Amino acid sequence: MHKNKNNGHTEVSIFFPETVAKIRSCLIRAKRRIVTRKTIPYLLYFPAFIATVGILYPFGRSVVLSFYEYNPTYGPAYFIGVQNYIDLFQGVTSPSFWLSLRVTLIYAFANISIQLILGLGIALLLVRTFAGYRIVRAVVLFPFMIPPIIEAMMWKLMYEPVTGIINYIGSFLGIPRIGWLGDAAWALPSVIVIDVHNFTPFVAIILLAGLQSLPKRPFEAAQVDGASSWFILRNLTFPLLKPVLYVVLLFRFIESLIMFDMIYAATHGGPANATMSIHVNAYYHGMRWTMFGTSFAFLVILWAMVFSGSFFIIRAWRKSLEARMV
Amino acid sequence: MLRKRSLVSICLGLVLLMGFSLNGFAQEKKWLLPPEKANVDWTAYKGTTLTIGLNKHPYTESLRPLISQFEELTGIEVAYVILPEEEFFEKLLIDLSSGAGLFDIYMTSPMFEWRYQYAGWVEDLFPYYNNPKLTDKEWYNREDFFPLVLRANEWDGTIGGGMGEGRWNGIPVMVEFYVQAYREDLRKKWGLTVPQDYPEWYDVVTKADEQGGPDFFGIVERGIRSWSTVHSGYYTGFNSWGQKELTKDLYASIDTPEAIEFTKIWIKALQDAGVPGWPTYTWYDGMESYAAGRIYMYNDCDFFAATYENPAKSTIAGKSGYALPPAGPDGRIVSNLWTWALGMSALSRHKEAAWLFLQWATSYHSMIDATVKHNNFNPTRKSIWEHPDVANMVKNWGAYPGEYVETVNLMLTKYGDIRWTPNPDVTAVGDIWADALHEAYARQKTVEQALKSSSKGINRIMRKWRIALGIEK
Repeated sequence: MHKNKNNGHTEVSIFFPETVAKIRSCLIRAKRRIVTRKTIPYLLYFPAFIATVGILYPFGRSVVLSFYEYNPTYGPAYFIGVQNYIDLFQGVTSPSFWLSLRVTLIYAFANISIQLILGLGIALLLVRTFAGYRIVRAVVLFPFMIPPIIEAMMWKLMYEPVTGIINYIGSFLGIPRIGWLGDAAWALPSVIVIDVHNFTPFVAIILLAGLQSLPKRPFEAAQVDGASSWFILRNLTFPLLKPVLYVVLLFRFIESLIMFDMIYAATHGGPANATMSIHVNAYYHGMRWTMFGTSFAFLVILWAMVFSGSFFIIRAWRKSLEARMV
Repeated sequence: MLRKRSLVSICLGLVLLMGFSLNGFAQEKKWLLPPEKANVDWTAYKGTTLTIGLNKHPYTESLRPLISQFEELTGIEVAYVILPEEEFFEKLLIDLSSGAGLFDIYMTSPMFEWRYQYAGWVEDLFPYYNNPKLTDKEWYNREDFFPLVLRANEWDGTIGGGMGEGRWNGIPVMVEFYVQAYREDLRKKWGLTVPQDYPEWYDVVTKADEQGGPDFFGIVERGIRSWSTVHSGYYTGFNSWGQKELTKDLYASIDTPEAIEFTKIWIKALQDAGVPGWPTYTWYDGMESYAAGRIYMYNDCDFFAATYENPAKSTIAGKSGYALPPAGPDGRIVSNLWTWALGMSALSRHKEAAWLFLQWATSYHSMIDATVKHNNFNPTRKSIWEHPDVANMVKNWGAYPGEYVETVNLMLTKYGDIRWTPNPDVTAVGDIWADALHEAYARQKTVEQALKSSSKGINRIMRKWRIALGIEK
């Protein structure tokens, strides 16, 4: 213990003051060396890097195991080369795979088209200011706050053919009772409606932000020149909004391709495989039948679809950014 | 003097005789005594925490209120996770296949134990049962279980057979068979018969559907894309036509002429008299729809009667009959069987403590409470099924007093059994088979085309077992 008498006051330090001062100055020097203009970006990226590595390990392991016959019920895993992939494309699993591919592409294409059109329409309406517009903007977001699985369960009750509200309202309009999620012809459109309801607000809000960030001068100039609304929309709004549209497209493309919980909660991939997407099919093979090698092969192909599609969308996004700057 | 000696000898003899009798009586009835009287050190694993995986099921509702008694008895803390059936099995599979070992004990059933046993995930219970330090066999009274349900939970690993031999994978806590639950009041009102075969069954349900109006339906069955859709009423009928899903060589046999003919009747009944949206119906949806009074007949679990006959849960209490399933073309009546059981995970780190829980939960003492106080049907112990309190609960269930008891007794002794071919991939076979029913129901394919298509998928799944057994190269 050390006492310092300084102007009649007594300071008492428990630790050795010289040591504390040395440690402090070391830390300050280290901070100055590490945290520099050059290193700040890497330091900020570091947590995301750890998360990426954490994801890459199970991903890499899944890719490796897709080349194995891996079924813990049957025995230890053993290498079979590309047999799982051959089975998917032209072998014993192929009818199931091609059906799932068709369902996945229809689901993704329908969702993206409808959500972009509806989302843009809502954004164009909400970009104006009117009485209560802030409240309306908040209310529009509500469906997006519901987790997909809860959304699916909620809609399942509404779609219930006998007691559900949709058929009940339809009965007043003379519409015959429809099986909806239990009807092979209607199941996929029904699940698409659920997805549209859940995610269109997300699209609308992103596009609204994009619209609000557009430069005002070109629009003012066009209005002064007497351009019609349609002309402004086609020749000004869309081109300037392209980068934001591509961002939204990227998000919805990825999520629509990999959607699982909403479909599985609503229909389990049925009826008659009408909603058996690649992800749901992979789930059946892995988590119900313990055929993990086949399941991973499904998922690697799904990943390849997501990766390649994202590559082209991001490239288009970069071009649109460059075009906008010009 | 002689008379006095004789009197003393007689008295001594009587006392000895009484003593032996009382001792014998006490030994015969030891299993009726509470757990504290068992020769088990219940507190040996005090301070342990056990985690139990439970399915959302009436048995779970009967077990939950009793758990605090076990905790008080043993000082072992019990945590549990309850999930709906499909999600429960998937969660359990994730836990077992990943090696996480979250669950020490889980609800299980023979069809799943066949997979878990092959994968090394389920613990054989015989070593614990045979360990005198852990088990009081006299108090536990394993012989009190119906042999049929014990047999269902024992398997020696033989693909295609071996039930009742080898390992003991689970302790049955309830058993169900598949009956015709129908509206007896409406049957009388509309002049319908109780179907004796499947063509008559089709006629009856379609007539009921016509009579009932737009929001009333002749029949409801399980329909989701799952083995469970095949398991209950459908497989019961399928097997009554002399059919099995696999041949002895493990090839699919769901597309024989008889199987096609039976499936046509089944699908046509669903199309013409079934609830719309049938492919989304779980057993729970079916039970609730019937209890809500919207359905004439449900070919499914007999024990749903506990819900149907409860005025708090049903609008049709006292109005149902419970008949044996219709017979096949040659008069054969059968029923598939399902038992929920409690099993022990091979990954558990507290196996001895887990065995104490299993022993306690499946003892007479716990299971009588589960049935009498909390409606766990059908009990798997003879003594409970025959208990006066239980007999009193079910005596009025059915079209006439005693019908339910008669039907279940016939199932236990004559008609009920597990009809599936024992193999680890039985649920995968069932999932693919359910596709055929969906495709035929949706008229995407004819019944024959749908069954043949699913046969290919089943043959693909079973190929590895045919190779393992040397049937195929």
